[in-house]
Amino acid sequence: MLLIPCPFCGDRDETEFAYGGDAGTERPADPGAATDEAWTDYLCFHDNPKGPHREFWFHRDGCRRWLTVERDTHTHELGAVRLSRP
Amino acid sequence: MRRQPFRAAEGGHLIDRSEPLRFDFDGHRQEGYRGDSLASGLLAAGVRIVARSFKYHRPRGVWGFGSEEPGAMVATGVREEVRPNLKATEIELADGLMAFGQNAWPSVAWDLGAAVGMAGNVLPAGFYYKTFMWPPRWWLALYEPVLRRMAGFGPAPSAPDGAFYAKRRMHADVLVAGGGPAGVAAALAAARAGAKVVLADENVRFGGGLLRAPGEIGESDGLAWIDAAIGELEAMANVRLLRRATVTGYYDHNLLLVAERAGGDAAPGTPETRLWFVRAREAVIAAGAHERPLLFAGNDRPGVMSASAAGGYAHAYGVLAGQRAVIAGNNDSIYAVARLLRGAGVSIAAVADARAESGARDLPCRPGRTVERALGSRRVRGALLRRTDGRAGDRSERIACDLVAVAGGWSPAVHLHTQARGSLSYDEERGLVLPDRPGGANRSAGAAAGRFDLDGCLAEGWAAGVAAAAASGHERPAGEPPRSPDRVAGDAPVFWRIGAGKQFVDLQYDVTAADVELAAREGYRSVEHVKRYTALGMGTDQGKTSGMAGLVLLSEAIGRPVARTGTTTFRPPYTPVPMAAMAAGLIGEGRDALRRTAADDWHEARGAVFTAAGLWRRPSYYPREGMDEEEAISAEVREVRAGVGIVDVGTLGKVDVQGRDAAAFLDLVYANRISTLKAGRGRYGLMLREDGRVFDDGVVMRLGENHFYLTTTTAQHHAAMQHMEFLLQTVWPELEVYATDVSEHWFAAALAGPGSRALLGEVAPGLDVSDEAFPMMAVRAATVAGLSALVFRMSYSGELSYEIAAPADHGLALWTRLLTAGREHGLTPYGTEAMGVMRIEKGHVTHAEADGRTTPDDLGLGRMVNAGRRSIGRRSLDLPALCRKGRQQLVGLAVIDPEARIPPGCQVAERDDMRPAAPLGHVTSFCYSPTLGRAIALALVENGRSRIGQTVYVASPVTGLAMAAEIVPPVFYDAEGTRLRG
Amino acid sequence: MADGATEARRSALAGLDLGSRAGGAGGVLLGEGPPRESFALRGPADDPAFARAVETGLGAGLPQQPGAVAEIGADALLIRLGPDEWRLTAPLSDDGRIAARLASALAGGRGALVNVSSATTVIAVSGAHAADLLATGTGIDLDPAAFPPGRAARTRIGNAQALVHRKAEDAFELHVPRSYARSFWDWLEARGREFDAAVAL
Repeated sequence: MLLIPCPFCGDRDETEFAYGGDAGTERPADPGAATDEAWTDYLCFHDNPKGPHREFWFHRDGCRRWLTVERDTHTHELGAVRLSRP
Repeated sequence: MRRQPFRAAEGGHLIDRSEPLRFDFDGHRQEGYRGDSLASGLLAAGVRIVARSFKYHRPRGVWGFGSEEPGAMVATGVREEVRPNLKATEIELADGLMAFGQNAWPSVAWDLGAAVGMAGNVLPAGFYYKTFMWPPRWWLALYEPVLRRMAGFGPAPSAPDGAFYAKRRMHADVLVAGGGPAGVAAALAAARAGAKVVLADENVRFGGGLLRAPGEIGESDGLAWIDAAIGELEAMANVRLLRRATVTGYYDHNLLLVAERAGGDAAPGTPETRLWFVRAREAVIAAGAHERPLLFAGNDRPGVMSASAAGGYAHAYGVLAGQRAVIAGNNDSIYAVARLLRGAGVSIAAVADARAESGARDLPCRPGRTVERALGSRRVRGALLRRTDGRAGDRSERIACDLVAVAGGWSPAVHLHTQARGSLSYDEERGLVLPDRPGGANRSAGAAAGRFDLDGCLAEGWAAGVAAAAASGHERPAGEPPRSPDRVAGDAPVFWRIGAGKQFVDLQYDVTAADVELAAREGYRSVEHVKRYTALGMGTDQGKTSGMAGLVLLSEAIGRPVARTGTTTFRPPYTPVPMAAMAAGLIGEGRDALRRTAADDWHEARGAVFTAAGLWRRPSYYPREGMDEEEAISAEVREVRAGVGIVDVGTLGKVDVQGRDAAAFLDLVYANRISTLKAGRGRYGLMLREDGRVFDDGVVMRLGENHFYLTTTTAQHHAAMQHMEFLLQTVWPELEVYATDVSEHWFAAALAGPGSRALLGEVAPGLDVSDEAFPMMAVRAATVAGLSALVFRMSYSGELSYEIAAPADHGLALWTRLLTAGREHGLTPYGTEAMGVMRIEKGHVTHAEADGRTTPDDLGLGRMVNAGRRSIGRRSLDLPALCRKGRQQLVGLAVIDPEARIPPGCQVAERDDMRPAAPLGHVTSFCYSPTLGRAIALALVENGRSRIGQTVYVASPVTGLAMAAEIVPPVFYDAEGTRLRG
Repeated sequence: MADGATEARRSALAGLDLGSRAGGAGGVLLGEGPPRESFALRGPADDPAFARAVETGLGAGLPQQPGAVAEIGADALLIRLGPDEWRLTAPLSDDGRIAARLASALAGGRGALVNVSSATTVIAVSGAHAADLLATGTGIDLDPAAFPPGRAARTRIGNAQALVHRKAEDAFELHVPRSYARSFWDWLEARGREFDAAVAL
């Protein structure tokens, strides 16, 4: 079970969080202007690396903040953890 | 005969001779002392055969001293509550203990299965992959019953385990795994530095290797030093000592699992086993080492034993593992063991040192020799000794003995180190697999790191404790590490086998050296594959004693250096953990939350049949005298449609949304426009996922310019809340919006039916309930039945209807007051079943239709979508895949035969012959409609809207049922909506 | 409040009839806390105008540290739960007065105040083994050095989310979601057997 250092609450168990997927892509500011290709790229195509990965975690049972977490998918080592909205 | 013929007249630091205990093994009454293990008690009583092996049913005796024991597998207790697969070495003797050996019928001494052992060649490595394959029909009738009887481990209990098991969390600066000299020194250093320390050891007494053999620390006896150190630690507030507690798992981010055999009956409330989940900043792994066997024919006979264990039984329990011993080994430890045994009263027949140069004058030494074969059948009667250098013409020496104590060197317990993803290295010269780079915040010390001299263990343990304390933010402790005059390294060359015959590597799974070699000949190269093919190391001991021997044998067989062959992966648990302990808190009372609405007590008193909706329980229907379930549900529906009913909708999600950008935000979240709502009015809202599929629906009400109150479905409440918070925090952080979950604050009940207006008017005298003053989709704050409430006029049932929300603390009062007032109106409480029937009759969708694959258009809601181009999900609706022809669309199905009922899981087919064919679609919701007098369904059907009027078949391939049905529009009842106006 | 509201109030634990079961002394005492009113205060922590408005309304500043608890007058508390979220809670006898003062101070400015009085049930856990009991179900470090009296934390305990307020070294108040309260109580009692738990009034 991971120990996630929530920037607000401090060290908390993984079970307090919900996983939120890849944080490596940004939503197009004007989806209506995006081509089908660009839009499906944003929707469906995500990297699935073995190694460092930037991803969202939601501190559901704590401060209810969405965090952006750098996690090594192989070793579970965590890098920077920050509030998605400072 | 004396009760304990193999008990020495004195000695044994673990036993209390003033307290004799009676126990029972395989039906025979035996006697031991308080402090004995079952193994020491059995050895004292002269019981040599303790169990039978897994495959060949060969007799197995006690081989080891603790958790590494491969052979002495027993079960305790009586039939219904039997505890199988225990190691005799780990069971503390208790008065009245009942135990029996495993894998034997009728008893370990006389076991019919042993005939297999004589026919052993039919069960080579991988036998279960090769034999018993053909003919297949023999499997159930013959092979399986026979194999089940003969193979496997102990019996399973037939009654539930009535004992209490517990779990607890703990946080520590430093967790020390293992309470031998290294571990105690580490704990002492870290604790003196001020760190919060947990010291856990699997034995009843701290001391580790000093329990088995005497040693000297400082100026005194080693165990006395340990006791003094433990006393010091026990008195410190920052230290927690755990005895009988094995660190069994090392998980991510330094979470360590400690299984404490707390003993159950020690005090009221004491669990049988307690699992500690320790989050430690730093860990010190001082788990010791396991003595390795030597390979020779008959090395599995009862009476062949680990030398350190044989010495340990004498030292710790005053028990003689035999009367006349041959001691064989490849390192200096054999001389100490020989002197220890001799001192306890064992006659030493020979001390065979595989190395040519060693020797001791006071003992009958046989330098350059080792055991070639253990003689005897059910127990050892003698040993053949032979030269290890293989010089020609050498003749074996036959020595009579009843104990062969073997010392094949030590394997450091690197398990926890590797569980933490630490890497290993192989020291060719010393023949040791050693911890290399640590994978977590930990360090190994003492024998677990390959230090076998007492002085080295103390120094390394102390240093590890100092370092761990420093790494967790503490200063260097005062004082110096303890010292010991014992500075003999105790290394052993890699020496494994001599001679031929059945040489056992894995005593528990009956894997022989020949099996490993056979696997290599058959092409297996990977140590992981060989493990699975031969089952080597797969027993409950997980190869603690056998792993290294297997590795060396494989390396030799495939001609590859040990370092490149590698070890198998050590996975948790290090020692078996009772399933009941893992299940503690996960079964029975209080396992899952059960959510109850404020009116739950009323439903229960009324005898409602409940249904689960996520974690909620909701009334499914209220049973009626003389009616079956369908009749009772139909009666509820009829009474709502004809009069007035009330349903508990307290489970809906409710969200308060405020802030200057609230309306703009809701326009982005919903697929339809919200900002055009006027205050005091509400609107059905449809939420999409970003991929264009319907996510959730509910009602959005505008309470003020920048204040909204919205509902979500019961099922998606948490997901919808999380979704909105995600958007506010990551996508549009510039919006000033506060979404607050108020689901738990509000209770809600819906009044539905043509009589609802009159009833509401009566209980809310201050509220003008006329259609003009309180139109459809309006919201009003009002006093209802004397309680402050919010009233929304909206409908799910298709009837005139009002949803009344009040703070949940007043929920039961609201509910009961409405029912009391409604008595004269014929008010009927109804449950989720009737609610479901009415919504199917009206063609309203739920998660059965919005199943994560359907778009608004699929569900006939396409016209609702008028969101701006930035809104969630809007862009995806234009993707070709989401607007192509041929998608499944929501339709109604009216079953033609009025007596027919639709079973669950039906498909929609063009034919009724059940021949395999791609279905047109599937039934999503179905019911018997009392309003229409027939079974109806909602279904997703390919091009469904263009098929209206066609006859299709509702088919259940599982039951073989098919019934004709007409495809109709999904709204079966009051399509014009005139009833909503009342 | 509307007529008949006071006698209408019913705790989520009322069905357990704790009063008739109270008594005895154990390693842990479990009981229902006194009824409280609660409000979710939302707003931008870094906006001085918002902070001033709160101070005007409550006569106390916004607690800054995560989990910090500010005492306001007689037994009213303001607890910091998140970067833009606080919980204002007061005895039921306050009858919404403190929230009304805060609401009028906030009026026209940023932030939101939402009544959530019925949303939580307060369960009191006290006694020598109170922390041990909670440690059977929560991953937060309950060592007084890490979580001292006077602090609060929202976390998960057993089968529910809970706002834990440590009132003293061996006394906790757990604010659990109302719909979970009954089964959370069952969980506490089941785990409490290890500590000889008793029901306190």
